[in-house]
Amino acid sequence: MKKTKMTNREKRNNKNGFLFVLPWIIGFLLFSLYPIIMSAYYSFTNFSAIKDPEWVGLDNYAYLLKDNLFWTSLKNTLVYVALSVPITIIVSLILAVLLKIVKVGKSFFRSVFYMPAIFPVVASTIVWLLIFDPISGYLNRALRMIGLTGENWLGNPPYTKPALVLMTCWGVGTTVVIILAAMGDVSNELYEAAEIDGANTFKQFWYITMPGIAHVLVYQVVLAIIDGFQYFTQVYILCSAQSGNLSSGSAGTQNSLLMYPLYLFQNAFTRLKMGVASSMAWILFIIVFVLTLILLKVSDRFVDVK
Amino acid sequence: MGDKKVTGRAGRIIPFILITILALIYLFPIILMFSTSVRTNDEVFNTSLGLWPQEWHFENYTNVFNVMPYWQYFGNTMFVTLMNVLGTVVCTPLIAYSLSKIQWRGRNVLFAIIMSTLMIPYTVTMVPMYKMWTKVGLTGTFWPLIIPAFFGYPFYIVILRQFMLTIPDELMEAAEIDGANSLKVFISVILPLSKPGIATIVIFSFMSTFSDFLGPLLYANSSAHYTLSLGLYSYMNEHTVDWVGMMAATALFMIPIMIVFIFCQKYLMDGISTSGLKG
Repeated sequence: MKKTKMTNREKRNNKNGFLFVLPWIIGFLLFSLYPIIMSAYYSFTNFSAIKDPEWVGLDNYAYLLKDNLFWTSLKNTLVYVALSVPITIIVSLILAVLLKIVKVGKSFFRSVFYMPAIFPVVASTIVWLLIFDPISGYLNRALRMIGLTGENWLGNPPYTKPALVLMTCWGVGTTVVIILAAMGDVSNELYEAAEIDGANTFKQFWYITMPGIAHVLVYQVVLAIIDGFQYFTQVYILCSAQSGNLSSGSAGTQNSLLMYPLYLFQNAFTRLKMGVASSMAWILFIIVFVLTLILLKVSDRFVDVK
Repeated sequence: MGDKKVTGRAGRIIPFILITILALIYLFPIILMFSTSVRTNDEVFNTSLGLWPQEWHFENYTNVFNVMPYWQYFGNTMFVTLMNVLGTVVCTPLIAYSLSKIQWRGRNVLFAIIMSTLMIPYTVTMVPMYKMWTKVGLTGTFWPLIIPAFFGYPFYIVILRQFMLTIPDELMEAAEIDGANSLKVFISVILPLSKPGIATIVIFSFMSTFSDFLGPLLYANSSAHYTLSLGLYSYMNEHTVDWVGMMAATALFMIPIMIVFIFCQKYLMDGISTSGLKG
């Protein structure tokens, strides 16, 4: 009797549990799985918003390999990721450590560092446009104050990526809060023991804090890489501000602002090559997937899994 | 590093000076935005002037309302945002409840799938989704920006599930002994105790929909459907040299977000902290 009662309850749980998540499953099929499958299919077709897909095999991929702008956009994005991931993580770490040490006005400072992260991208990009202005912009004003000449940050190709990374550093608040929370989870006893052993602040940071937050840092690096490869809205807005409209296809001097997702977007919606755009999406997907996998595998060796 | 003292006076003052300088740098763009928004365009380009405006031209703000249908954009934004919040509130709690408090076959597999969907680049789904919404004739309406919210966004599910896991099982068992079924347990026990978690995802949903750019860019193809993001963007394209007007419009876009932030930052910080730690 008791046994059947248990199975009845299990049955009921199985039914209810599934029933309650059903909305998400339907949403997943409609808005994730179906689009992913269709995207893979589209990548082998020639189609646009006004034309039905027509099978072309590997033509899109072959076309991209010979397309200079594809390589330019891939290079731009790789440079941006290579610069922005380490720099934003280091900046976040510095801010989090300072927030951990400083006791006076702690919550005020935390709000100040976090707030830019929630500002609408359009709004903050427009403000940065003013800061980067070659003549009256405050970045160059500050540089001139210390005797440097300043740069045309968004117009001179070698300086565009550092400028974008600077903008990204302004919005690292989410990572700062997460690292700060992770630091709070590191056991105080470890610090007390280290204190007794006479370890200084830097030693404590290196031997206690860093290993304690390593698993969170790895996750943040993965997220930063994914975000970096999807960096779109800021350059879309900056390029429109420079050229008025994007259908001309220009994206900054020598296409130095042409990030991979921006070129993908142009292919899909202004060049009417949605098949090519889908191929681009899959190349990006595979790059990000492989990078993430390698990173997680490598970090497994060094990081204690919690 | 610990909560214990950092040795010496210098050890306390140097970090404080550093953090103050960094805070000023982080505040600078916001100060610049407000400062520019009340000046004249001539002043903006006069490099001999500092941040402090010579005269305060608050009419720049009223001007925004004359040159741009701000309230219409605001109304559109609020409609899309509140519908997203509604969708999130209606469907997320039940999904999170099932994934945290009900033992059922396939639960862990499903959760793994939900976690992995967080990694899918939007660029992969963007084109097929656009095609799909075109096929059903909904491009150029608000619905592509609203309907998906009613099926649950993975990020909010993960946050709320994390929150519900902290609710002790004993509280549910007491209700179960009284003969309550899972739906009743959900309504009478879990839902009331999950209020802070639900508040967190409401704020997240509000913030991200209010600020969204790509969604409206794809689906709002006439100015009648513009949200503030898109309205500000098109204003920028038409008035590139009018910095003061642009900064006033930008400020008017940021102010609602700042207000929500000031009142709800506790929930935001808590939500971020828990979402990041399970990684």
